Amino acid sequence: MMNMFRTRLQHAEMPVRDNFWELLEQDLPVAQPTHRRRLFMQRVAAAASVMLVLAGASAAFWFLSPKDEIADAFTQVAVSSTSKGSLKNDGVLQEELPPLPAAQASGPKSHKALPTVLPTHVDEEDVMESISFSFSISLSLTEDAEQHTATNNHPSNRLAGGMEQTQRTSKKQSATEEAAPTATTETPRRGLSVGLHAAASPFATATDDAGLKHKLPISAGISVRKELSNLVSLESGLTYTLLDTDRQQKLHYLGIPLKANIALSSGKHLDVYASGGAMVEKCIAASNVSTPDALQLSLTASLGLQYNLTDRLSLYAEPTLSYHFDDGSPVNTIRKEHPLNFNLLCGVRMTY
Amino acid sequence: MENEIELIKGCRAGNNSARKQLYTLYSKQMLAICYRYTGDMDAAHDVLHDGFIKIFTHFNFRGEASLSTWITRVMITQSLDYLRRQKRLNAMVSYEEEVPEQADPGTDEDYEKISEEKLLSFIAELPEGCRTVFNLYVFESKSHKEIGELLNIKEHSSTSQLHRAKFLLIQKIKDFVSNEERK
Repeated sequence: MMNMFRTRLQHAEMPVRDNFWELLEQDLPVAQPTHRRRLFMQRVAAAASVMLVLAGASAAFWFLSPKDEIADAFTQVAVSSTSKGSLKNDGVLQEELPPLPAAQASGPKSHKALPTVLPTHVDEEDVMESISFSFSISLSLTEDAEQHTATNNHPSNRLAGGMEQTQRTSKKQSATEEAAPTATTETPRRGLSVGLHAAASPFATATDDAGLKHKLPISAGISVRKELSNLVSLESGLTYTLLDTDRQQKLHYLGIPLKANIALSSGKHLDVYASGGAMVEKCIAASNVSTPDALQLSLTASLGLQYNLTDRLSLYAEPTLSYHFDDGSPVNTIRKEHPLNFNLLCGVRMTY
Repeated sequence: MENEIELIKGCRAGNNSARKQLYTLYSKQMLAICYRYTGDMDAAHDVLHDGFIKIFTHFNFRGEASLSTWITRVMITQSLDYLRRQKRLNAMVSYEEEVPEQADPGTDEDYEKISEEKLLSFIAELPEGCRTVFNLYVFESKSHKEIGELLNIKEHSSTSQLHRAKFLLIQKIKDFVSNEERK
């Protein structure tokens, strides 16, 4: 008898009620490839797309945007400056700003009053090239009290090794190593991350009227970033910049940036965010020229792309637009030639 | 089968049409299995639902057995979990009295008259303990030792449960056949 049951019922079927599949479908997770290779390919694709976007942004900027007009537009927005070279005419050009609307909109939260050291003219006689390396060290600490394990995927919790050239800070301008979080002590669940970055300004080379050739500005820095909320974080640090020229003139700057970041998109592997900020820099050393006394102030706006390698470690890149206010010194730097610059910042970020 | 390989790949990738295809291929059969174990159509559907979610979420089918066997195993595991949650498995009465051996109540022709659905319902009507043992013994070919380990009962309990199941089923078949003859 039992055999009978087995043979008769082994492949028995019963009608499933209507709607069963539809209800089941709703509960099914969306495709999550767990296959290792697929995961790896995803990561490769993410990294590749990050590089592609950066390359595209760089190319677009280089080929499409007349820098002078952008400088004009930026000038119009930021300050009414009459620094030489940028404005070919007195009028204001109706040029569209480059595609970093979010960064522009967010703006530096701690925007300070404009410096009063804006000159009305620049002394062009001592034209010397200078490359500034801004070494910015920014530490952002993000503690998550919610999670006892310090895993935090917020974009700010990464080791940021980028060049924050134009950051305004309310702190002392001395180039100390101290890069304390600029935010007030928030609820302990906010995280802190530390970053190391390097940066260059690919299009900030120029030969000025005096034939002085300004070389590519390079910078490096440490940053500390503190999360204020799920979307917003504040960042500060220390940045070193080298402004070099082809005629022995070399300027070394140390600056303290202050930036606010807004998360635009946070994913498991890729975060996108926008930043705005300012930086105060002081020339700490100069060769072949007298060290400019004045402080260099600048504003930045950038888009951040962050690739999360692990919960704590990530790589990031920040294409940045920076505008340097004339510091009034007699030394001519690329920042006087080209107040508005595009910088590409790449770094590593670590979360705690 | 070539198609099966494609199907497996698709499901692994979370491809919705592959999933639907797999569902269409196996759902009716799996529902019968779930019904056999749970004894209740609503419960069977719930178990089927949860089973498919388990299957599709990770789809860690490694190909060590056939696709059909793997799916069946998931459904059986799901059914047993359901029964355990209902706490009725543990309430297996140990039948002390010997169940008398009985002759088969019918011939093959008699059995043919009974529909599959009816046969399934006979099993579904069994009390939970002997039903589970019956299913595992008859359809999964498990030994009483294995059943004991699986259900956390003594081997001896498994044997007596099976005898009980046989006894009851024979009763049901007898009753059915005699009812049919009266018609």
